[in-house]
Amino acid sequence: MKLKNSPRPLTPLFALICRLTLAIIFFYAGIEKIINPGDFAVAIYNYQLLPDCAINLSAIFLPWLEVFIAASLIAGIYTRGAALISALLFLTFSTALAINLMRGLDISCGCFGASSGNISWLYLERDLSLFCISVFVLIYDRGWRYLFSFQDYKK
Amino acid sequence: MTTNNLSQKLYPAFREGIIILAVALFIAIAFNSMRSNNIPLFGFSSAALIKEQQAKIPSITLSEVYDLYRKIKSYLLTPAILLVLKKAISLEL
Repeated sequence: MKLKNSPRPLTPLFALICRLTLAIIFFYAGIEKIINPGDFAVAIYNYQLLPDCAINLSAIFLPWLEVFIAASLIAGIYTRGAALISALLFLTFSTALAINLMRGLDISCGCFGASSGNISWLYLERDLSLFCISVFVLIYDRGWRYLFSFQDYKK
Repeated sequence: MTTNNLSQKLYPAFREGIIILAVALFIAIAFNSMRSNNIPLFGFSSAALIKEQQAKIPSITLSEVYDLYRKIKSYLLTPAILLVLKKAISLEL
């Protein structure tokens, strides 16, 4: 088994665990928002960062993007692309959160649809952690095949 | 990790990312147009939302609040709050 032969078997295994964790988070967040796009549009509006014409389009597009990222991460198709978009998304969310925390606005996070709490520094830390996890997946993930193949590790 | 190695990983990631973005955008627009409770793509109106939110908030004057308090004689309001209310009413008048 490759897991035993590899000189550093834990890094790709940990990357795979991170990848699946990201997938679960994105899938849950995406489905919650797809169910009620109107509420998500209001949550985006409350951030006061986008013009009115871009709010509904973002409320329609972002949940599906999250679901597609989750599907890619689980299936192992376009994993690097999904991890890159995931990192960019979390960086964007973190920036939006930081701006509104500094503005002192007490608004709903909107991260998981209607069940989200109000924004706080803890949410910012969470998004930054998820950004780091996405970058880790982008660099170190080698997919299911690496862990469960019988070939020797040659890199 | 060298710069060359990183760019080798990032280039296909960008390409894959663009494909995911395009497919997600297409599916999102198609699904939204098909669902019964869809929202318009570019039709968000902040003015309508503010109007709707304001309609939900009942407006009540301070004197009405004071009268309600006197009628109900709530146990929750302490004499200190009553004093603040009285002062606020006197300032408003």
